Amino acid sequence: MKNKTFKKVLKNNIGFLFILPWLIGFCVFKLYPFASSLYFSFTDFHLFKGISKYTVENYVDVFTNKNELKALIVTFKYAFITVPLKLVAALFIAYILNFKIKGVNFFRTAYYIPSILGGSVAISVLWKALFKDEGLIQTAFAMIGLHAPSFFSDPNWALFSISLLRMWQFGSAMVIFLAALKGVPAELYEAASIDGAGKWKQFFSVTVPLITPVIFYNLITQLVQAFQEFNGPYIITQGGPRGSTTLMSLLIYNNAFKNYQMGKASAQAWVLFVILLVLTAIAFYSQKRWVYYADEER
Amino acid sequence: MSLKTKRTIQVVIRYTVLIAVGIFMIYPLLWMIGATFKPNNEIFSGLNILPKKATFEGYLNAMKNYGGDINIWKAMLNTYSYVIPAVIFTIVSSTLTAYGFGRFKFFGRSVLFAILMSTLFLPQVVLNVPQYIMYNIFGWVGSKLYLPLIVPSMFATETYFVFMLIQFLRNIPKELEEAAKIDGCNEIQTLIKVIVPMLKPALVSCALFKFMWASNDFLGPLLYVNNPAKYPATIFVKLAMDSDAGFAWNRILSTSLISILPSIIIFFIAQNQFVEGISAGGVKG
Repeated sequence: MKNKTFKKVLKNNIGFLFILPWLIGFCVFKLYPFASSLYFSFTDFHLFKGISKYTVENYVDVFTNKNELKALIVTFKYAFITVPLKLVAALFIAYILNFKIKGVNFFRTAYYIPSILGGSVAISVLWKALFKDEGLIQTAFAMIGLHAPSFFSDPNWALFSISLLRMWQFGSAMVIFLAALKGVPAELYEAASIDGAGKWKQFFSVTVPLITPVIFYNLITQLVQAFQEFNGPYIITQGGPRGSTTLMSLLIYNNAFKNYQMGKASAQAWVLFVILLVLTAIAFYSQKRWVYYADEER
Repeated sequence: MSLKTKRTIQVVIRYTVLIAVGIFMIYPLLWMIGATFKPNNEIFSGLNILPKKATFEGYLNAMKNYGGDINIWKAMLNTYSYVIPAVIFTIVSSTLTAYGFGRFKFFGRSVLFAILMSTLFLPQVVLNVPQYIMYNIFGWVGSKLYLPLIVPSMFATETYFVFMLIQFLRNIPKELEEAAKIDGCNEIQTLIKVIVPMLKPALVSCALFKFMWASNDFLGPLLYVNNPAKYPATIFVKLAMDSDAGFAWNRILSTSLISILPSIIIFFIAQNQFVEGISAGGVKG
């Protein structure tokens, strides 16, 4: 009898068995680390010395310690340079590609390759070869008689040179935009055109409103990525010169894996996490105003 | 200005922009390929892609050992020795999870699904430190089997793929599954015989992305691989650059190019799957 009820319960919940590996993975590799890092963030946990006290100093330091505050500011700068420029470039190019363009596949591939390969160390090495002192870009400047800045050794230029590497990878956002643009019905453009709207007017009053869900999606994924950028600054500039490319992720890495200050690093990671949470929340709340979903009744 | 001239001007502007941006995208890559065949004193002397005096010096040196028990070939072999298992496990575990969420009702489904979706944007940066501590306790740091880089993939930890597969499943009609059920297939047989064949395009996309991401992963190996003989290509290239910087750029660039050659080849073979995959995942949310 008992066996029968068990079988029935099992039969009704068989789907649960399929998601069980995910649930275990979620608890072990995400939930537990997530929770334990919150706990560590309130301690002075050192990988080899363990915990000797509970404290909020880690959090206070993020906003008062000169280097940590600087890393926070640099991270914001990096994200607010990279993300808008990348999205604008992606949308603009997708918009052009959406006209009847000959060789659209060729262009799409050309723009997309950097996104696929760009995350690799090999491309960071290439970036260094291009922008280093006496590198290719400086050679190019010299050929037209201009004096190029020292891209990686000038604190005013280093962060921008690193963000260029990310902007160069606008292809994946572009492909997503392009798919969305294809979904905008042609009749709408015709109607707008009959009403006398020019191409620019059409773009801002027909195209953009209709693809806001996708803009929203791209905005969030790009923000999350930008706030966690690590490879570029770690490989190319090691955070220098004078901390001008020390993003939060680099600071966290140095604290945790060079100084073994796990508590401090956890607190910094949590600050970053909360910032992302707030930015995402702002985007979500504001989406009611600017994101248009086709199945919504207005 | 007549309408026709205006149109022509618009078309010219469009192509000009596309070509100019295209050059900006592709030139660095072509220059890199050319530079691997240049002697070191030529690399930064001009903007030309083709070498004036071609040499294989870069490649010959790239294949040499930097000292220690590692070279570029070994490093690449190391890379794929964890990338390929990780790809396979990711596909299997993500498919199971997507099937479970996409096709069944069970106790707590809506709560669990909300949890799944909330992890879609969970930043890895907040997990790195505690995961390292945990793997350290497990004895996985420096594991010869690359356990920290492989084991999580057995548990559908890449939410993006699960999400993509669920989206894809939603668009597959359920009639065939019902027919299979009538024919006496159980849930697992239905999954293998009906669902997987129809999911195939999405699965290929997932496999390709996981392959690229896992091959490019730098922080993972940096944290969890500490035996030089076990270094993957990403770490090897970084070390090659550090030890050669300023001198043998043709050697560094050749090493780099060799390390991403498999990725380039796979991209060109499967570029449409990449594009379709990324469009499907991003748009239907």
